[in-house]
Amino acid sequence: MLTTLLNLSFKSLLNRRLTVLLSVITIAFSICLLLTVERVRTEAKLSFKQTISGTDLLVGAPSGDIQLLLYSVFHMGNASKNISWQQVEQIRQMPEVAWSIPLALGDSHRGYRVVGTEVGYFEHYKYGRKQSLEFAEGKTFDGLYEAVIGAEVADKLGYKPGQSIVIAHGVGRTSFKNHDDKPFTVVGILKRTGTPVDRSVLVSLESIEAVHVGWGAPDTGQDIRARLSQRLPKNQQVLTETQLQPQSVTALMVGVKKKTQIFRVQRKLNTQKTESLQAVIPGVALQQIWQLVSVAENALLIVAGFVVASGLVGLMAVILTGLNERRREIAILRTIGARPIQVMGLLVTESLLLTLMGILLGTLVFYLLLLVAAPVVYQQWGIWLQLAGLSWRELQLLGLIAACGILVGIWPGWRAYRISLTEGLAVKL
Amino acid sequence: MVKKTDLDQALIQLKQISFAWPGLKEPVLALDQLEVMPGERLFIYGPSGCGKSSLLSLLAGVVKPDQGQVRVLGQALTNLSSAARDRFRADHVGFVFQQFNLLPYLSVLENVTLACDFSPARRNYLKRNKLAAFDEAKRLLTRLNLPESLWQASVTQLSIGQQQRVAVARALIGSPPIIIADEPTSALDRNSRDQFLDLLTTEAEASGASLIFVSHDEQLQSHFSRIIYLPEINQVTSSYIDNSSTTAR
Repeated sequence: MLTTLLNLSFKSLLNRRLTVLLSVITIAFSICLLLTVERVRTEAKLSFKQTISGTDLLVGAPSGDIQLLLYSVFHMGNASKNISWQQVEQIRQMPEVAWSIPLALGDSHRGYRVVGTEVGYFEHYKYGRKQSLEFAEGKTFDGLYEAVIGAEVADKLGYKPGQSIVIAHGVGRTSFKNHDDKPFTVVGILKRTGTPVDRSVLVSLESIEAVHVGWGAPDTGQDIRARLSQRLPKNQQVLTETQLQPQSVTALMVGVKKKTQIFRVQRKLNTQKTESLQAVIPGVALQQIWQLVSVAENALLIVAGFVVASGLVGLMAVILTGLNERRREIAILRTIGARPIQVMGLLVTESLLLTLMGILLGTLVFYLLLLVAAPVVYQQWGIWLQLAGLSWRELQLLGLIAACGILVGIWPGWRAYRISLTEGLAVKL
Repeated sequence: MVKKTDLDQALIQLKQISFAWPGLKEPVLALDQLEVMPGERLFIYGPSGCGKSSLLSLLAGVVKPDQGQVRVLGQALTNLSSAARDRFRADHVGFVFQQFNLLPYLSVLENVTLACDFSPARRNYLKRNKLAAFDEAKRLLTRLNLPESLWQASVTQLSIGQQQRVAVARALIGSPPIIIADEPTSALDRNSRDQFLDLLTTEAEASGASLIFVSHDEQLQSHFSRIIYLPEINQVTSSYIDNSSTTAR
């Protein structure tokens, strides 16, 4: 019986293919939109939450949990204050600390932040599911004036290993204070990570110190031209080891020996009397930041939900409109013994078939879109939209829509049921 | 479900029937008694509004009378649930309408075999006689003079006369004992009307079915073995003959 109904529904739909196609397309588009929003939402969330993993604590000058994370990891904004090198040494000597990687920020190359760090960065910076950074080309820096660049920097600027680059003081896209007397050589290019690392230029702490030798304290009102003219002769000198000893760093990534010690170390650093510090658990701060944007994220999903709902209501309208023209069809089916519930089933089946076709087409369009848009999205926002199968949640959403497709058919089906009962076999012309 | 009936026992038996359409107070049909014997070719005529459609709906078990009893093939339809009546109709009654009998999205052959899809009894009949539904449909269509070139065609390509013959084939497939025709010739011209009536009566007889034919056109009565003028036996309309006062739905 079910196959008869399915067969009838299918052929009836085929007979009205034009209107049917239009409503399927409407539903398909709405489903495509919903899937896109859902996919971008989850991928953005995932990509964001996994920006930094494997690091237990971020230590910086006291500002705020979120602020510290923003400037040290996302390179957004600036630190209000640095941590002294003595403090870094002290933290390194704490018995609970397994490793620590300093980050010195403040310089940039054509809009991309320069991060002064140590070679250990490549070992300890983890993202995603504890993935390490990998080199696409070249190797890590090991001397002065050597730089490793992120994938986006390499792509956008077209750099290859061996490229000579000049870093600028400050973080603007253009800067008048270029360290052009001390060019850097690109020695390595990292693979894409979808994290801010892609947009970083990584150099050693010593290199950062070296380019700043002779720069003195930040601008104190002294005529810049005078300072620039003084610079050249000084740079002819051979830099001594003490000159390269970093004075301070912006932040410190810390790994503890046992996860249970995280909170103790955090409390110790936050409450120490000497130099005031702030220690933040990256995961917690990331969560806090994401909560700020989750309102917008949910709003998007709700809008997409409404679009799907309107698609389904449109489908109901199409079926209801068609019903009047199909009174004869109902009467014919009744005379050959179709029960009212089967007539209703016919319309529900139809609605379900249309919804399923919409889902299928929508998913197809979604994947095509993903295929085309994923590289663009990645380039623009660093969110890597995986060309993976549908997630459990996406399948649930689609299942819910299919169920709604059945519900949508129930009202016209009920009308047909009533028509079957009241009009009997007399067919109105 | 259906008891075996003797030949002399009535195929259809209506007793003290009163029927009004749901939502309407005035009954459209009130019959004291009506019997149809097996193999009969019954012609029921009367002007529109005399209760013909209501009578057919009662016979087919689409509706139940408000009073009285309808027995078909010894089975009291009035005691059956509506689903059981639908099943009963699918199994035992073949129906031909005035016009537009066919589903436009099915081919001619599919329209004929559709009757079997809804009826286990018709399928079983074909199985017992070792017939495939499509073969039987082809045989009937051939007997009804429908050219083979049209069998796979869409029904919209058929003339009205051809469509009516396809409807007869659908009514006959699986040999149901009762064929009901509701003004099947009203859309046909005189020539094809007579031809159609000949085919219908012959084929109904060949498959051993009783034929109940309803029309407003009394000229057709020469083709039938028994004639009933419905307003005469319908107590609602026998008192006054006025076409517009009651509208049978």
